[in-house]
Amino acid sequence: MVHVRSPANCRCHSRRVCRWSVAIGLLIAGCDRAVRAPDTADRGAARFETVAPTAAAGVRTVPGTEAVPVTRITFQDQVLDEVHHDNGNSAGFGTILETLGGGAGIVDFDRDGWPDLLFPGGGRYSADTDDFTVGIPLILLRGAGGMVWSHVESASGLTRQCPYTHGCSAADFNNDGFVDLLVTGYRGVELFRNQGDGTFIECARASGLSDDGWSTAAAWGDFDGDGMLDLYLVRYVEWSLAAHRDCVQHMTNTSEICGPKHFPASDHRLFRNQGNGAFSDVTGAVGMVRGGKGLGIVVGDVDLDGDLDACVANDTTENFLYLNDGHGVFQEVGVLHGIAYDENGRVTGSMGIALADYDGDGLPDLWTTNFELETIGLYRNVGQGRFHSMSRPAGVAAIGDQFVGWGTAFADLDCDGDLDVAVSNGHLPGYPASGEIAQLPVLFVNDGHGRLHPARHGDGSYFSRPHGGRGLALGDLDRDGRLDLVLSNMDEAAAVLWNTSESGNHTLQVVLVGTTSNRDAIGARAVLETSAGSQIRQVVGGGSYLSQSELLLHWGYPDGAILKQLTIHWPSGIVETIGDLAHDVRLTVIESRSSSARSPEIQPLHPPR
Amino acid sequence: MENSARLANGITTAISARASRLWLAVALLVVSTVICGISWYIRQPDVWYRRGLDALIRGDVKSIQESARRLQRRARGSARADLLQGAAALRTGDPAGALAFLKRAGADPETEWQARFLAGEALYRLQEYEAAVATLQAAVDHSPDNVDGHRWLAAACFDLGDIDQAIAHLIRVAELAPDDPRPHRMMGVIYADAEDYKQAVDAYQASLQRSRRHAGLDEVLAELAAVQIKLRRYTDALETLASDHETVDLRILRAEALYGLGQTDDARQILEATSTADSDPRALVLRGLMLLDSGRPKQAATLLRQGVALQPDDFETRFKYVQALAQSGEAERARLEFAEVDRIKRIRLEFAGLLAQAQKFPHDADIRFQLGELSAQLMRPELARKWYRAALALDPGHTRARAAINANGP
Repeated sequence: MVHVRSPANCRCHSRRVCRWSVAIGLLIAGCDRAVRAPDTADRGAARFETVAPTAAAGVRTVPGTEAVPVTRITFQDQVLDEVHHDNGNSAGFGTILETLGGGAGIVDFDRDGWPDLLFPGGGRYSADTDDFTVGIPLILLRGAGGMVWSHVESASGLTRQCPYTHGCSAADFNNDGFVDLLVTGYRGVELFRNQGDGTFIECARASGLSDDGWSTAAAWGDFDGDGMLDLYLVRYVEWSLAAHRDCVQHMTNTSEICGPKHFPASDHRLFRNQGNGAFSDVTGAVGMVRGGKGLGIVVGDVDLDGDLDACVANDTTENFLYLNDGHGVFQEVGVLHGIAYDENGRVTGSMGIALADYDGDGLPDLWTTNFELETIGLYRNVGQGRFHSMSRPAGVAAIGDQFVGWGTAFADLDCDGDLDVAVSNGHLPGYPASGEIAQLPVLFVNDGHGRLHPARHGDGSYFSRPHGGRGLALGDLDRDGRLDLVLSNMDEAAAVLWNTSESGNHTLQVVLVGTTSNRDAIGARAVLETSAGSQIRQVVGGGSYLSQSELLLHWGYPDGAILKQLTIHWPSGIVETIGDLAHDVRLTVIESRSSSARSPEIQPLHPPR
Repeated sequence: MENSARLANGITTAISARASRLWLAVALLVVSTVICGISWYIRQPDVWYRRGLDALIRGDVKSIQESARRLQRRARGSARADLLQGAAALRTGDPAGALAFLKRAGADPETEWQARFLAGEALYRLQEYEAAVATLQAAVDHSPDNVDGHRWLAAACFDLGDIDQAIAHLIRVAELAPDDPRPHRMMGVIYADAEDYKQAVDAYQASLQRSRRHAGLDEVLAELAAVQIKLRRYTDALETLASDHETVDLRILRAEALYGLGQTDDARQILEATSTADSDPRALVLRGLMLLDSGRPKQAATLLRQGVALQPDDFETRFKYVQALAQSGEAERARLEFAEVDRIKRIRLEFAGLLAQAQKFPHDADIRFQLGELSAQLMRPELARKWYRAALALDPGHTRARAAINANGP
């Protein structure tokens, strides 16, 4: 227990000590307010109304888009007024803890067929805890396919006191058919096991998932192929309020928040699911390297050898690429396989990450969002898990270097058969060189020929207004076949972006349910063959930044294209082929234990016509 | 009557002849006075001194020497003569000889400050940077508007590794010479060297605003475009390069900017039409990258290896070579080259740290020596010599710096 003196008793041995005492004094002064959790029980009936897009003053455009036509990809934004991630900055300390913000999650926790929304609450400083922080409970909003969301934290048992939280990750770790929730944060992770009745029970420590470090992102994946989801826990740096110090911006000689370079890295951890509801820490036994300063992770089959690999976005240190030997043992090959650095061999401040085949060559490519003065990392998979930086030739570097990128996702937002990319941007609190914290989110539209063009948006669009972007999750919230976005922001309410694009194209959505494989089918890949070509998708673990997207495979294809067949490569090695496919439907495919494929469950989607 | 007329005529003639003689005498007197005046005037020390100073500004060494020679004959002109002789020696490449004259000139109050400015320059040319800074600083303290004083101070501070002071003096030069594009260009070079590309862009743009009609315009445009490309401001770079000037450097930079915007085909066309694209490191790297982009790592490795040979201290080029090797399946060579990338990065990191230390401790010879050692490790002998010289300027007894200079040549 750290003993804290009040400023009145302070004997200042140095200016630094005194400043600290004052700071702690401020903490004490505000602690009774800080530890009080929001009374979520009172908010059960809260409703969020649609916010009509308004033409905001000072509409801006992303550099390089001034002369391009307004994109046909459109969204209607809904601001979730009550959904704020509290980073504790009201205390005025200006620590690195306050910079990360929180993610967003799309899950169907009650299996009613409609996605629900999950947001880590964040936390505040408090003198009442050993680590001077206290968490704010999760926010869980129950959805019904429309723009009305209901708070259900109280009813679902999520109002308990928690650590200072950042990220959320959801998966059915015990294969019981109900999605469980993992929440990362400072000095602790929480695992909420879904009891199947709409309630959760926290079981991290009891399951062996204890961690008292600073965890950020997490990804579920069956690394050892036993059909149970293991957990890769990404950790950031060794920091504590007691070790906090001021930093100076050299260019402007002003104070700024000390960045990750000032703190040692925290090693990442891997927990193996033992299949009985318990996890064991196998970090030291599976070839993981030390260090990292990680903020993002995505797991998928990078080299298409049938096992799950992991790509980790690290902040100011080399990104990791762990290739799996098929037995859950990794080899870290980031440098020679081309993702550790940018194309010039410089480390990047990587935050968000995504994995998907953007150029249609059948190989999953990698995308990382980075800090300012860096470019977004687009790494084309050239085979055997090797990557080549395409940031410049693909045109993504054209947006310049002023963005600080966070949440991100590949998604065919206009259902035209290729993957576009959404990026949430926002600077750090404090004194960014640009002087502005809020930044424009950026949407890159795939031209189908290997180029990703930054899009220009109409006045009033969410994308034409700057935000303090952080988390970004992807899912089809209204089951209209179009992928929607959920964004969490720093010092700003979260938002749902309902995809309203009217392309006239068609979609196919597939939910995979593993039986021999893990139930969420993380690691499965599926190839849709149409008369317009083949497209591959993977069910990935993790992705984006501190966020959880819907575990859904989505294809768009042009009107007139003929669907041929869908081939599913399950993590178990089973390959199934499904023919006789219909347009604009969602298929739920259950992994067959025998050689004959089961008939998928078919639900119609309701695209605008 | 006739006699009277003749007499009158005679008188008139006599008077006329006398008047003519008088006029002649007056004229002769005037001429001789003027000649004497001119002769007197041109023998005045002030005149020769002024002529000498004018010649100094024009860089007319012969006239400086002539003025000095004239002044030497006069007692009053000896200090002035010393000043001009010092200036002449300086301009004829004899800074050591200049210093002897300038020292004497510095003893006379009339020529003291002019002599100090010139002595500062002489000391700079003798690579006695610290003495140059001290001398010039005293001179500009006395005459703060002396533009050349600030110019030489900037150069001396830069060579001593005191970048902040160098920039401060360049800013003063820019204030005193509002049409001169050079100080901002120099600032641009310094900022770019320190990888402070945003400041570099501002400086180069300020240079171009001052004048777009000078001999080094192409170089300034190329330098500006290069830092804009570093900042990924490809559209800005293309605007910078959109001038009537068409050099190989500018063409290659245009290709690089287009490549940055994803317009690879346009970039390739420019490179194909550029005759020196086989020997220019920037073009080699770009062509290598294009080959990598199109899945031809072996061919890319060949070009990138040439790029590495041309700029061995550039870890960015070497890193691309590593990627080409790795994609070609040459893992072991890739590993070895990456070890070199790592080594260069470490040295550059250490170099940057020492450079910051050099700002903090402007009189520390050992930091300069270490910067020289790191420069040598980066295979940049000229830069190494610069730092060794800076170390020696601060500490003439620095034996390791002297040995390094002796080993590597002056």
